[in-house]
Amino acid sequence: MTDTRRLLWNGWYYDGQTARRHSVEVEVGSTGLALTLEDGSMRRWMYHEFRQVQGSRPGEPVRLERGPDPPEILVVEDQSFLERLKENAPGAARSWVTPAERRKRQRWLLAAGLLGLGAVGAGYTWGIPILAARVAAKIPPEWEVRLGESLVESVTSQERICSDPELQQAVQGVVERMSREAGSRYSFQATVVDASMVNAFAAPGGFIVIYRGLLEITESPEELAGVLAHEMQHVIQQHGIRAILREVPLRLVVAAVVGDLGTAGQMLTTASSLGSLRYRRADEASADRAGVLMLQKAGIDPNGMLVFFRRLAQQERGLPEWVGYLSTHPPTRDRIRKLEALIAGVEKDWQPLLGGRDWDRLKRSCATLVTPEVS
Amino acid sequence: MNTPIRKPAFHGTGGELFLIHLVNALLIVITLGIYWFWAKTKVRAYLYGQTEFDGDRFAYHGTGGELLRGWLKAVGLVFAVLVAGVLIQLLLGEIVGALFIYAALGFVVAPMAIVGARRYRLSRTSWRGVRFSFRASWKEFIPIFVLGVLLTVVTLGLYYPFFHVQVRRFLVDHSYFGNRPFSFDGDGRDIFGRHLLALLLFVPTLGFYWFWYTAFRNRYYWSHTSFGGARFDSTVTGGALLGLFLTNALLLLVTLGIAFPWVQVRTIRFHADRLVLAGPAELEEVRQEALAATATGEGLADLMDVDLVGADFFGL
Repeated sequence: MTDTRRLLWNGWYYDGQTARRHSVEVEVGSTGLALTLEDGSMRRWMYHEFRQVQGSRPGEPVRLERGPDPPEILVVEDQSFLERLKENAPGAARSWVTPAERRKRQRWLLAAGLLGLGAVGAGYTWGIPILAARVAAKIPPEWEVRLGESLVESVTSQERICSDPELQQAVQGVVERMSREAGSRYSFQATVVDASMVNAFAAPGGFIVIYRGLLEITESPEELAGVLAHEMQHVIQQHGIRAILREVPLRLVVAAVVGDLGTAGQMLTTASSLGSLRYRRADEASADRAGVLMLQKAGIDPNGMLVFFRRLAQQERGLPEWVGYLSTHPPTRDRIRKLEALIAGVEKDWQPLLGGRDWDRLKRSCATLVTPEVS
Repeated sequence: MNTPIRKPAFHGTGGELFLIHLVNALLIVITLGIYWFWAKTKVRAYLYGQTEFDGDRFAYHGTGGELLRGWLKAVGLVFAVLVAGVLIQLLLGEIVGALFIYAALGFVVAPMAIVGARRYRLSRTSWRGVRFSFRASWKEFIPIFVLGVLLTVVTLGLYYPFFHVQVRRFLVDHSYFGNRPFSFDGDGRDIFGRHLLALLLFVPTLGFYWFWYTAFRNRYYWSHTSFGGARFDSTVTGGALLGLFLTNALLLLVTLGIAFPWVQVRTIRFHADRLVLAGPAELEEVRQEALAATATGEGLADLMDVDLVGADFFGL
């Protein structure tokens, strides 16, 4: 506790003109300080005339400055001097900070910081997705098409495209039948890539890419339609473009902190590499749901989708090359159960796809083009 | 009569500095980087304010606004050099243009940055209420710098210790506390042998001998730096320097970099604890004589990443 009756303090005085250190006796008065130097001369510092520069950190001498630059300086080592000052000059004391007050401030600052951090976290988890959806809706379809084009090109430029016209038309036909019924604003374009990987993806603007590996493990065109419907819904619901937009703020902040806007631009453009694009689980569920509805609307048997995912689930183990599709579309039990619930109860006269053409032959027509069978 | 001995002491703590860095980081994120200049100023004000010499603490008077303006001017200057370079490329050919850019940046802008940063920093530092200053222009530094770089290149690096000593002399001899200068009487010949030895031993000692060489050079520089009738002296040893380096590296590694403020504090304390100023410094006679300076050089130094100055304790 401060001795409230203590009026005299020892300190050091610097006149701002020389580096001479004057030993000084400080008397705390009612309107200001009276400084008595070692030669007996006096200085009067009124309370409103000086400011505190140091003395609020633990162990730090109290440093007061008076006047324009270069100021006169008074240093008192004993920090309780500050408390005594504050008691004596309540009006002027507001800007003076004692160590105890500083600790209190720090605690507030810490609390505010944590709160701010929480707010930033909440904004990132909920605010940014909402904003991304809003912005995505405002993006002209032509931009999406251009982005999608460059995405598809960057992924498929190393691959051969299946050019068998019958296969190409068959797949495109399924896509168009659904897109007609869904009344989408995108014109869809399906491409079959000649690669053994089991994979399929959609790019913004209406681009659907199916790998030969996936095509060959479907046992009916309805199964393929199920995969296509799911991917088309990613496009229609703008999941891809939203995923990119969700990344933007984080990357900007990282770039700002790192202080490198060059890499920021680079990151923005390579955000478009599909590898870094992850749909959220909610997006996947939504694409399943809307995909089934779209199939039903187009008169296509949605059981194909279910059958395909069930088979994926069964064969999941021991098939490393399936990693591509499985890693992005895990056929979890939960997912299959939801599909079953959606499909149950809807009975309809489904129109068989492709008029009952030989699916086993058609789905292999890409591979035969590349590697003619020897037998 | 015994000679007065004056010592620095550093009172900063890693915890306090960590809090400053933490708040700074948050504000930098929120302001998308603009706060960086104020953050830098806050760290400096803390480090200077916690550094005591002969019973009194230093004070730092710079502001974030100054740094921001300096940085903007520096960006403008570098940009102008690049634009001029491109124009020259178009008019006189690619090689001339490229040469112009390298020469302008390397031989004019770099010395400007080194001198400017020192001018700014010293002019914003005070002790016992009296400001430091740096009283030479970058124009005087260019011949020393250009000649030193060229000779170093021509001699395949053998000239480097002489160059280093000359830079040190220029920077110290024009540094003032109030109206009194510091002075440096080192000679490149004194460190040339050790420099050669360090180069030869670098590979056989896996680079470790470099700590002993750095410590030697450090001691040499301090013991040839004086103020008034007083001379500095440092007791830094290679072993201690190596110990500091290893413990700092370990701290950073184990804490994934979070220990940075503690590393900063330890490093400053390490140097402060080993430094003395012995002899009659006649501090009583020092009069205030502040000098104006802008932060453009500081901005250039940040942009070009040249920090020849801040290597030791307060860059003296």
